[in-house]
Amino acid sequence: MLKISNLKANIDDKEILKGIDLEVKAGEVHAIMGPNGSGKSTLASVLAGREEYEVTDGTVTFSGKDLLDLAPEERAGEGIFLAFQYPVEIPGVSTTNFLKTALNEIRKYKGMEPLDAVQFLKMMKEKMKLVEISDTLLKRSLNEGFSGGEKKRNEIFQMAMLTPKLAILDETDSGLDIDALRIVAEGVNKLKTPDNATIVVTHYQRLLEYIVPDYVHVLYNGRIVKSGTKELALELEEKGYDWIKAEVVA
Amino acid sequence: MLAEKTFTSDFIDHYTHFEETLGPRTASTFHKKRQEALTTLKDLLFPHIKQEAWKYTNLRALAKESFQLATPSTVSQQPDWLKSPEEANVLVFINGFYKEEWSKVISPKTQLDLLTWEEAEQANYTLLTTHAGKIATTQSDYFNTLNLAYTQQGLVMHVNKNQAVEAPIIIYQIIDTSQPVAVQPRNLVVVGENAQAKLVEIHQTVGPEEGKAFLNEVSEFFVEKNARLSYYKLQHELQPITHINTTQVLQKDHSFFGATTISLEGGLIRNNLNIEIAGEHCESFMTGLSVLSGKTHVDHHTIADHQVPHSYSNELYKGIFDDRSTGVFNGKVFVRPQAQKTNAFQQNRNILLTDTASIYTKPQLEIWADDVKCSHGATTGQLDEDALFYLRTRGIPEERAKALLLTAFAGEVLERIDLAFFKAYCENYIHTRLSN
Ligand SMILES: Nc1ncnc2c1ncn2[C@@H]1O[C@H](COP(=O)(O)OP(=O)(O)OP(=O)(O)O)[C@@H](O)[C@H]1O
Ligand SMILES: [Mg+2]
Repeated sequence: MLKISNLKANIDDKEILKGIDLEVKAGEVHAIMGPNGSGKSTLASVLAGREEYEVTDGTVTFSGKDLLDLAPEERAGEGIFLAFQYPVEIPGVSTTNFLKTALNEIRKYKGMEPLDAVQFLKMMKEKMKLVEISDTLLKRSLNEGFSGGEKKRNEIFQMAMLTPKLAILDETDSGLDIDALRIVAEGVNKLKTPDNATIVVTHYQRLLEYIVPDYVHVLYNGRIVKSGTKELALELEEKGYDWIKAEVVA
Repeated sequence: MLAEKTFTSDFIDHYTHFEETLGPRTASTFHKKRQEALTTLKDLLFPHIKQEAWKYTNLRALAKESFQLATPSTVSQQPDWLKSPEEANVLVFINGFYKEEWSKVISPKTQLDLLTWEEAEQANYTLLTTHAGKIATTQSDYFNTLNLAYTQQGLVMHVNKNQAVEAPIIIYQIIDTSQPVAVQPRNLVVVGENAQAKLVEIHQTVGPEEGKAFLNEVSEFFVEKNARLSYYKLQHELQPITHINTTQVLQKDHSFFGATTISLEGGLIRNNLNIEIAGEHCESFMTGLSVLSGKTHVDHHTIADHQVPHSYSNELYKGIFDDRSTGVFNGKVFVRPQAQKTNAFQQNRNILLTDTASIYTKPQLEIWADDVKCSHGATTGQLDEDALFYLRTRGIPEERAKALLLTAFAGEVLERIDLAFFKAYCENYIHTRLSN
């Protein structure tokens, strides 16, 4: 589904991603871990199409298409979804209104008929249950004045509504208390099918107890320096990153 | 400075001709005020960019034009935008002349007196003697003085004590640019004790594109004790005329005054909105939205003058500037030494859509009292890139995402409008405009 080869990206002439290789197949869950500033969010942003990052080398194909050629909205149409580490507050745009626009734009991209108000509301009601998000929150301006946890929950709600092929969850667990974490993780699991895939960026093993990864990768200094199975996450939680840094130097 | 001198002397030289058009009105008591203003005008200097108040609005081009005394327009077909709600008083002026066929007064005499300036003058209506020219100063203000000398037509309104007028009063000031006319309307409004009214003013143009005209309008509003006046102004002049106006307001104890100014199109626009808050426990709202493109220039100069304790003023002006359009915001808040416990808030927020658009913003708080709550803020920037990216990652195309953000930005002002037909008109227009 997704194939990243030797991906290098700069911001302001500073190289952040220094040659990333990663392949994600349908039905898989990949976890990306790594110390602060190693480039995890940068990778997520580049995949979502942020223009500030200049891709200097490498290729990314998604469902057979050259992803780097597409605008962010086209990537969304193709089925990429990024749950932001820091969701943006947008005053004056209600979540409901925004989602209806987004959903129908994606349907248009796929050549589907738009949902009418009734169908949309019905779908909203179903998906709201999934992440236990409240009606009042959705009536407010998008993320404005939301708590950290509410913002994260809203990201997963959007994911539920937009049913992407590849969801990239950038530290969706941070800011969530244990109950909210469980709800969000269960939501993600319920949305899982053999046809979609998930990349989970996290610092903590705890989330991975709920969303069990098939592979765990360690991103350090712009490169994937180690890959393994879910046991690697446990090892990282116990020992930290120093031993990996030492391995890299050696 | 030659052009500026000629501009003034042209008006002075043609005064006798103007007086002839007034006919029997030259015998009115108000006419003496005109003549006094003419004398004052002779000593006044045409505004210049070296003066602080005109620093960012250059009137050179205006000074070089020559205008003729307005004559009635020959337009006979009622424009399709001239659609007012059923339940409204409507007064239509074209080139300053009252268009009776297109006007209607529905509110009963028991609620209010609604006259044209000409009618008021012919009847020697008391307010013209007691109130006209009392608060809009002439001594140092060139355009106020010019207007008073040349006052031709306008609205005179008195809302009777204890009357709440349901139907809005809508004035259309339409300029026909077939001829380079100078039009100088004047309005006088007194909202009596414990009375309420909603006044709307819509500025439009008809006639050839690129047609030139000069509109210089002065309004004086007296809001008595416990009275409420809501004022909505729409500037939607398709032809690039020069439009200068002063709205001077005097508020007494426990009164409410709210001004909403929506500027959409025009040539050069200068809005002076000055509120003398001379009463305690008053509320004063000034709200503005400019959505500009082309070379339109809109200059907002406002004053909230807190003269006594315990009053509240709240000002929010927003602007979206496209193409080569320019904006000026100068908001003065005065809190006089005795005006303790004043609450005064001011915000000016702007978005520039191009490198060639610009805004000069200057909040100016002068506070002489110590026990007050005042704040102000001004921001100017581009569209929020992070927000734009966020929307695009959800599948919303760039242009649509931009429109969504701009509509939300404008929405903060539009949602404050409490007059349904006016709000709908502005929303429709702005949504369409921002979506293209
Ligand atoms: N807009 C930017 N301008 C300059 N430098 C940036 C920008 N965005 C990211 N960086 C730098 O790129 C590097 C990688 O940042 P990134 O946010 O991708 O790290 P991360 O792995 O997600 O870290 P964290 O675990 O703290 O979320 C950091 O050194 C960061 O300072
Ligand atoms: Mg990060």
